[in-house]
Amino acid sequence: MNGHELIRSRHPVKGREPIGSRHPMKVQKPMNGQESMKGPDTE
Amino acid sequence: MKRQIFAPEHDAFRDTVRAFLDREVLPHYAQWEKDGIVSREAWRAAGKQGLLGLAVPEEYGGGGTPDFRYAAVLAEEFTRAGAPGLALGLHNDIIGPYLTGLATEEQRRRWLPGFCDGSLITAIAMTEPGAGSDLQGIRTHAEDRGDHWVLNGSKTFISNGILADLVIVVARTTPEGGAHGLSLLVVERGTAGFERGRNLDKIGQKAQDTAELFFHDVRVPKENLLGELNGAFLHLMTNLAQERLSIAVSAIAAAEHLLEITTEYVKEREAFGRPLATKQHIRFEVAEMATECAVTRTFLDRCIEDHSNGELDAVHASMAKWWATELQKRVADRCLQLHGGYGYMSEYPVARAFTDGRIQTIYGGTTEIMKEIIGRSLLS
Repeated sequence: MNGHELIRSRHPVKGREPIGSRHPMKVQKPMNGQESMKGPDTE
Repeated sequence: MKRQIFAPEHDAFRDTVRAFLDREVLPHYAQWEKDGIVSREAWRAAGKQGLLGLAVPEEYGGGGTPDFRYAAVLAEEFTRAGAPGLALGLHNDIIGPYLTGLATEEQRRRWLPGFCDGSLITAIAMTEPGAGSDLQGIRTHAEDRGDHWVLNGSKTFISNGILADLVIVVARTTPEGGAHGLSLLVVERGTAGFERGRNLDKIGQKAQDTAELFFHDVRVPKENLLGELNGAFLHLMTNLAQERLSIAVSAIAAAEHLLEITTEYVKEREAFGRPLATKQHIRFEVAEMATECAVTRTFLDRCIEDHSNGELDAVHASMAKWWATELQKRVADRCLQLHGGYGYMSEYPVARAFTDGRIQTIYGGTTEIMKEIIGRSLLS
């Protein structure tokens, strides 16, 4: 498989999801200081 | 630190690039350095291997991804291999955006398939004997003759200058327009009056052809205007951020590779009966370089990520460019020193990296211009 084929096969849908969306930090609920001491809300 | 920007598909792409380097580049590289130029077959092979036009839409034969991480992988692997002569980064990352972003549909159909299969090698001609960083000083000019332009002038230090089939020429199209009287004209191989000078003798990157270009009454069809008339300055400013990031990516990869090979060297090389690595000075040198590389790597990976998301601005691209290339220069010098006399021998990778890398703080915008851009953004 050449480079183009590899890229296309891994991204079959045009308009790939933004890289940043894979980062857990960006999808975490904002926490205040006390909440952050306890860790993220898992309920 | 484990890098966090890559997914398995990028690792698979890295394997493809490494296989290409082993098969199509490294066996020929010594000959290319002697010749001062790479073979056209290598460009064809890169096209066949799907390494050209990664960001070009699929309908024109490209990879169809705006994900700059693939471009970063390509730059990193070519740098680590010590093979800057086959200038895929220049073609893909620096010239590609002009053709994909500014070309008309007719121009895209005319040029992009060849751009992607390796049959059309490209160059961009900005620098002149009297105008480098100062774009306003460009004297190459094009006169409007109705259905065509007549182009006159000369360019120098043009990478891919000998091999290039398409050259994007920055030319003055409005005499009184200052920086805003410049346009981008595409000059094709074989056009009457377009001549190449000598392949310039550089201190490094010996396999990369770098040439003077001359234009004597060159008739350029109106349909070869790229982008807006008198819009070159804005087009250049828009695209220079990616160019600078691309150079920065290769710079940190070079610094990391130099550190790797030097670390191995000082572990093996003995002086006064013990390996160099046992000396405190050597350990401090390696520690300092490793720290600087790690900090820079983190910033660069963030820039790569931001750029893939369309969020990298010119100021941060300038920061990445000057910082990473100056780091590369410092690390190359220190690593050469740690190799002693062997570091001065051309057959040692550290010596080649020292000379190959020296241009990095100069082309694509000098360190001084990068600092001007950053400083202006903060103080004006």
